[in-house]
Amino acid sequence: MNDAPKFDIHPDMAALLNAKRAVNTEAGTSPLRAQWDSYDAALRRPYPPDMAVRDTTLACTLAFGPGKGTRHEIPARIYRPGSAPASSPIVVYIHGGGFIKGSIESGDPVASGIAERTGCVVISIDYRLAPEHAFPWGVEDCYAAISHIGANAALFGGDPARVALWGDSAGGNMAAACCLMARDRKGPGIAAHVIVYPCLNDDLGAPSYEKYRHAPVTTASMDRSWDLYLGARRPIADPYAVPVKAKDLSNLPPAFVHVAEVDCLADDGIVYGERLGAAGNAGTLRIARRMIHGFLRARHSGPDVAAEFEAPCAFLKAIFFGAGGR
Amino acid sequence: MLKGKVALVTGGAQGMGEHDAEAMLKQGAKVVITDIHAERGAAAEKRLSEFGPCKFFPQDVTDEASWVRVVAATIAAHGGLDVLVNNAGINKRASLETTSLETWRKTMDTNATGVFLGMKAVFAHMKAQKSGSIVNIASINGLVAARYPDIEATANAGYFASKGAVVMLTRLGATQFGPFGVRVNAICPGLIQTEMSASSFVDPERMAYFKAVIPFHRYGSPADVAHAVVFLASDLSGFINGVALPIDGGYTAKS
Repeated sequence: MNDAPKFDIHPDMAALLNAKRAVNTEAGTSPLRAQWDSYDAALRRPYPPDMAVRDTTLACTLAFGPGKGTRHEIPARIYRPGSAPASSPIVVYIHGGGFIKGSIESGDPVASGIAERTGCVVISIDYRLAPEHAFPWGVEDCYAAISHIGANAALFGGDPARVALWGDSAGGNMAAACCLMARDRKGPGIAAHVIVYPCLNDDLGAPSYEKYRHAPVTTASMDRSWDLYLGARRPIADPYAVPVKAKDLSNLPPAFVHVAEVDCLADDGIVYGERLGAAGNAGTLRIARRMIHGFLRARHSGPDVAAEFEAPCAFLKAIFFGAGGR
Repeated sequence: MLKGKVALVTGGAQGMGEHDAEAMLKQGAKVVITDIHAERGAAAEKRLSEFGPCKFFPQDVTDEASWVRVVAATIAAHGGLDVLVNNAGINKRASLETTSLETWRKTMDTNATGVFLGMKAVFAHMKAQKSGSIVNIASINGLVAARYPDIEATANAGYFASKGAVVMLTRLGATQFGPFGVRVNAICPGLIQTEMSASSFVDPERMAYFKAVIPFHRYGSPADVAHAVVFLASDLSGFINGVALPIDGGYTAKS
C-alpha cells in the first residue's frame, strides 16, 4: 500500500513496517480507529510485573475554549512502575493518531515504555478527536487534563513540581501547544516536554513533505488529517493549532524534540527544535536516522531503536533526578 | 572551590546577583542566572560567559510555574543543580508611615514569596540527590531596625518585613531540609554599594553618617557579599546550616 521500501530504512523498523502495512489508512474514521488501537499488537510486550496500571477518568472543568465552563470526564491510564518514588515525577503522555484517531489503548505501548524506562508515574490522557471535535477541542482537553494533574499531583502519588509532557505525532502537537498555553495563561508549571515526530504545521511546504511524500506516513494522509482537524479554518496561524508558526517561542520548558528521518514531518520538527534553541530554551534536537514515523512503538525490535527510545527517557530522568540518574 | 557544581542565581542580571554569579564562575561552577529583565539578562549572560559556562533564563520569581521551568532548564543546560542563590529583591524607599499597600505587597511578593517559591522548587531535586546549598540573600534590615538619619530614605516597611521573613524561612528550611542533606543559610548584607543602592549614597552628608556608624568605616562591596556566597555554596561550609550571616563590617554588632 505504500512505496516504503524505496527509502533507506533501518532494519529495526521491519516489524513496524509490517504492522503498518495491515492498516488501511484510507478507511473511514470509525474502522480506522478500531484498527489503530491494536495494529501493533505483534510489537507489544506485557507490562513488567512490578508495574501497577489502572484506568480512571479525570473530572475536568474546561477553563478555556469552546467548551469553557463545561465538565468533561477525560479517560486516563495511570502507570506506576515498581521503582517510582513515593512522590514521583509525572510524565503526562499524549497519544498520536493524526488528530482523528488514537486512545489510551493505542498509546499503551509507548506510555508503558516511558514508565518502565524512566521509573516515573506516567498518566496517559485521552482527548476528543476530529472531525467530531475539531480544533481546539482536543488540545483544550489536553490542557484541562494537564492542569488537573498539576493541581492534583499528590492524588496520583506525584510531585507537582516535576510534571513533564510527552507527545508523539499529533500528541507532539498537543504537547507543544499546551506548553505555549501554559506560558501564555500562566497555567501549570511544566518541567519539560518531549515531542516526537510532531505534526506542527498545516502548511505542508517543507522539503521533507516532498522527499518523503510516500513514506509510511504519507503527505496525503497528513493533508487529510489537517483538513479534518481544522476544517474551514485551514490555513491557520493560531500557534495552539500550529506551534511552528508561533512568533514567540521564549520561556518554554526544556524540550527534547525527536524527529524520524524518514518522515514527511521531519523538517517541521527540526525547524521547531532549532527555533526553541534560538529562543533561549534548554533542550535537545535528535534525529532518529533511517527511522520512520512511529518508531517509538518498535522499541523491542532492535538495539538501535531501543537506544532511540532511551534518549528522551534519559533526558527526562536527568531533569527529574539529576545528571547521574538514580 | 565550586568545581563540578551548578548554581542558580535569581536577579543575576545586575548588581549583587551578577557579582555572585561571577564569583561562583571563577570558582569553577556552572551558573544559570535568571532575571525579570530579559534584555539585561542576555547582556549579563554575555559578560559572565567570559568566566565560565553561564546561561540566562528570564524569570518572574513570584510565578510558581516559572520555577518549575527554570529548575528543569538549569538541569537540562548544566546537568544538575547544587546551589540556589535566592538573590532577586526590590526596594523602594519609604518610612513605615508612608509605605503604601501596593509597595508593601509588591515588596513582600518579590522578596519573601520569591524566596519561598525558590526553596520549594529546588527541594525535590536536592532531596533526591541528597545534597544542596540554598543561600538566601536577606539583609541587616531583616535582623535589626537600623536607625538612619532620614527614615524616608532607607527602606519601606515591606522591605524590613520581607527580609525578616527570609531569615525565618532560612531557619525553617535548615530545620526541614537539613535531614535530607540540604543546607539553607542566609546572608545579611549591610551597607553595600551597588547599582541598586548607589542612589542612597550620593548625598555626602549621608555618606559620612553611614561611614561613621560602620565600625569598619567603609561600605561593603559586592565582592564582600559574593565571597560569603561562594563559601556558603561550597562544601567548606558543609556543617553550617540555618545561619543568618551579616556582611556589614560590624554594623549589627554594636548597640
